[in-house]
Amino acid sequence: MSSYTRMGELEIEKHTQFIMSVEKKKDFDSMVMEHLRMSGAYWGLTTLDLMGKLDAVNREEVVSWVLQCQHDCGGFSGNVGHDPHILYTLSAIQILALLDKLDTIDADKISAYIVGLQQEDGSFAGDEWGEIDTRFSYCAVCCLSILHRLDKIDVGKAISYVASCKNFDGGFGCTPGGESHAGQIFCCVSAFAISGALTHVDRDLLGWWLCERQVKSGGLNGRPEKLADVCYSWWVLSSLTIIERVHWIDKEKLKTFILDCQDKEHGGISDRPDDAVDVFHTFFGIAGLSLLEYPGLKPIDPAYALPVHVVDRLFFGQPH
Amino acid sequence: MHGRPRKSLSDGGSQEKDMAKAAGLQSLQTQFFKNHHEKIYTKEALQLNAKLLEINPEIYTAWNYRKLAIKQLLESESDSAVIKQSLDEELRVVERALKRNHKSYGAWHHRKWVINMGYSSLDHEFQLLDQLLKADSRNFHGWNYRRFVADMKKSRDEDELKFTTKKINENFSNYSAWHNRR
Repeated sequence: MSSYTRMGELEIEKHTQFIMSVEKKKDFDSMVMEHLRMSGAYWGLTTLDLMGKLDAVNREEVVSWVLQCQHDCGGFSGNVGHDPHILYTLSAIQILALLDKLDTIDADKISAYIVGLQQEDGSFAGDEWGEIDTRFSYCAVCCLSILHRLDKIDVGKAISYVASCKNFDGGFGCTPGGESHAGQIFCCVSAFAISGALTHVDRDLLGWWLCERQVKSGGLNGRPEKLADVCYSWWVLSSLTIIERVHWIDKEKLKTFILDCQDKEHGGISDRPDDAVDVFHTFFGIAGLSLLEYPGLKPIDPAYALPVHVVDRLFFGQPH
Repeated sequence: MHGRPRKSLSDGGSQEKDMAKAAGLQSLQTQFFKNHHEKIYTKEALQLNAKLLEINPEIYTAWNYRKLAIKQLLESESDSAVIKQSLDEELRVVERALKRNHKSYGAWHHRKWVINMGYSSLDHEFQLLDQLLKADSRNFHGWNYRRFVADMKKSRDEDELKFTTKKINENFSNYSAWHNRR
């Protein structure tokens, strides 16, 4: 055990218990999140793996539930009975990759679903109802890459659409003309990284905009003049890592901010100190600490948002 | 969840109220999903769906259901006055949902989907946006939607520049307003 966990700075046991308890909650706040349970499961399971605690989970039960969320069209929904969407398709594939259970699905069927969502201009809709957003470009590229089927879409057009969302400040928005936002920046920069198209990023200009997200408390915000929030420890940090500018922020101050957002009594991490915890912020806080090389945590890939050992297994393990 | 204070777990009274609220939501959801899977689009079913979305605008499947209901209406109805009335009701449902969560992707997209049909007043959209961007001048959903409506109306660039100037005069550090001048 490292000296940090002995000092009790990162409460790994408490966070493990918190994540395991989330599934059983039936209160109002948990109910309003039911539609995104697939993403919640991805956040919780990945966090457990980063902390070396994935064995606490019944993998067969998880896989069985994930597969119940697949629709005939190939896409996955956020929960059983809900409609399919590209967001939850990515989360489902990430979970199966994490658990090394990609052999339970028909990769061609899922790729066909995603290919069907690509538009004429290279953008991606979230589902049949046509909402366009660079988040969905990331979902498409990341998911297909994990399935070794990136060549099924028009990658050139996908990338040029993402590039058309670049702003004067070097950042990226949801759609062309949309304001730069750290979450969208993560999606666009990661899509470029996965497709081998990082030349579209002005690393110094974007790096400057990103490092300006660090505020006095050491936390990071998502846009100018906004409050710091632990989830930006991921969106901003992973982007900075991909463009090799992470040394432009004060890492120690950020580590302290994330650790201050823990609920040391009941486990879990919140958006900012003393706020309510949730599994979303718990994942992004711990993923951020992993990028900061916090001792005792497994390394995480900044573009795939999966533990490095999983990505290694996908790309350097047994071929399909 | 953002900006919610950490609560102590020992408050029994509020826990009871919370479980009652959760049970109410569960019941609405169960009924909604039954209607959705059985393709029931009666007036009562749509009202139940609207109630659900007012409580939780994030249930994206519930917005899909409303689009399916409208699609069904368009297949059987040719009277444009009737269609416009139904679409105006959709816009009212979205407005109520936005009051619950002015950042709901599902709500904003449903509004855009309805407006794209071409039956609704764009002036009302600008009025709604004025209110929303007054309450939160950094709401990028609002700014994105404003660009969409301005484009549809073929608003003059000078008018949009005037709007962003007004927002900057209200708050010089409004990055969103500066961005939208590009």
